[in-house]
Amino acid sequence: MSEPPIARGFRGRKAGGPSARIPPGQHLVTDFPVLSAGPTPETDLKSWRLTLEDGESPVGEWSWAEFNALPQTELTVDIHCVTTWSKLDTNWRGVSIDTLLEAAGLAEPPAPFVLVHCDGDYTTNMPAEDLVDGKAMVATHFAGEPLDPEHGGPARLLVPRLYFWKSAKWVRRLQFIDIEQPGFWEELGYHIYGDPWREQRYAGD
Amino acid sequence: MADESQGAAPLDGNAAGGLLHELFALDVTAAEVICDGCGAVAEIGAVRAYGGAMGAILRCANCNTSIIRLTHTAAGLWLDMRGARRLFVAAPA
Amino acid sequence: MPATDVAAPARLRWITATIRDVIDETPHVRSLVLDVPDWPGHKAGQHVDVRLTAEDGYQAQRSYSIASAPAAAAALMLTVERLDDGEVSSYLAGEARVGDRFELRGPIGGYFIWTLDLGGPLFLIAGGSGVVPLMAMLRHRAVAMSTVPATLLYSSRRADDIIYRVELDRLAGQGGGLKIVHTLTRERPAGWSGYTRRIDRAMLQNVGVAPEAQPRIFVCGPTPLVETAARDLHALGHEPHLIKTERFGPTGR
Repeated sequence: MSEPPIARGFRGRKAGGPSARIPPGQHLVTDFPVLSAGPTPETDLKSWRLTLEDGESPVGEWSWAEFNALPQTELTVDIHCVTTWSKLDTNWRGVSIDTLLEAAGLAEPPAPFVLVHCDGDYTTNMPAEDLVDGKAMVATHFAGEPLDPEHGGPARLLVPRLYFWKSAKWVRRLQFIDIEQPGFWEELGYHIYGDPWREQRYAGD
Repeated sequence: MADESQGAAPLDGNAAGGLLHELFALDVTAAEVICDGCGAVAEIGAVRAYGGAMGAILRCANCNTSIIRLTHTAAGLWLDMRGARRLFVAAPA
Repeated sequence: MPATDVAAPARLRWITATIRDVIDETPHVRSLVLDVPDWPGHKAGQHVDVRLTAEDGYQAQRSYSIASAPAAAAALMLTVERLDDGEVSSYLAGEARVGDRFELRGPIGGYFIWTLDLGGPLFLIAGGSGVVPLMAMLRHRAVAMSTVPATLLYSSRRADDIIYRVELDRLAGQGGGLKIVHTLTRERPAGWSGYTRRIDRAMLQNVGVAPEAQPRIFVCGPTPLVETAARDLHALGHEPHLIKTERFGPTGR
């Protein structure tokens, strides 16, 4: 099979990394691109609920008012999208998963994996240990403002150590499960774990 | 439209046409597909796609079911059609 | 009894195109005329996928509608709008020059096409660079000297953003049943006789063909324009199966 012709003078977007802060294959952006697997849902805050589940059993449930009355956490982190853009020093506020577990009366995650359920049939997954010890939150504010619906408002999961498709928008349920289950993109060939520093974009990487 | 990463970001079934053509031996953008969620019929070219540069998620305009999910990763092509009950491609006139 | 063969078009392969000519259509839009050996031919409305490979092996791929008429197979034309953050469009509509080569595959698309046998009347609605596949249809109609009545409603930002303006004026002036109506969304030039607002239901009704005539309708442009126009056309009484849409991007005009 012959080599494709080189397009003279074409330079792809300069991948900035790897550097201390930019993972391999990523480039910096200053805007905040929007990517969704479906239309932006309209959320009725009166009926909004966030649930923690141990398998099939609910172990914690919060209304919007109850959720926002929980102790708040602020995080400033870098985020990395599998489509190669990275954004540094993004500021988020919300409720950490540690706080949620504590509010549910749990000293630790009840099972080793999590399946995240969101509006519009979107799901994603990760090991439970990637959500605790300050590593993740359910975020309601970005850059000091309430989270825009396009970016996951009223509430999205934030797991900055993994590719950003795992920071699931419009989160509703965090289900702790014994056996790892792939979510929406993971079933379509994206990496089951998704560590940007090991460039785990696709299954088999 | 954010011109991101290495792949095109299909916006409807038309733009997913090339990708679909890698899998199907013929053009399916004119194919009629029946949504398994609600039974609505649509031509694939008319169906709106989400997913940006991650892949083409074609959703029923009537009930939002994912009719076709298509990604092209380094490992290969993935096609999930659980949301499509049936596909019909007309014979040429 | 043998099953009817569903005709398979030529297998889609990446082939090399060489730029033969470069035409600056507007400040942000450029057309490329290409030599494509073994081009299998196309139908008006179809597109190609273009793939660029950099020296380090990095590849980027985008889709572009074919602007030329099917009869002009030896001079395949793509018309590309240069987007601010577009790594492919800024190459094709910027750096690229005569003699440069890149890959393309096609033609792609069996849904958003118009062939002579489909007849008319034709009602074409374009937003910005969405005019490109519709221009292929109008060029096809002109080459065939068809007198199928055709109306193009074309929305642009400013007067100097109108792609193919001179050619469109010429085609409309030939008296062959082509009507062109322009609307601008960000400018009202002195002496302007077209509309100056976004396409809306009233404009579609005033400009367009009545539903009773069962026009074949093609809408192409940014997603919001396409979806709003399709809804309005349906509300005006046009049959959904006669309305074909192609979305070009989320940015509004």
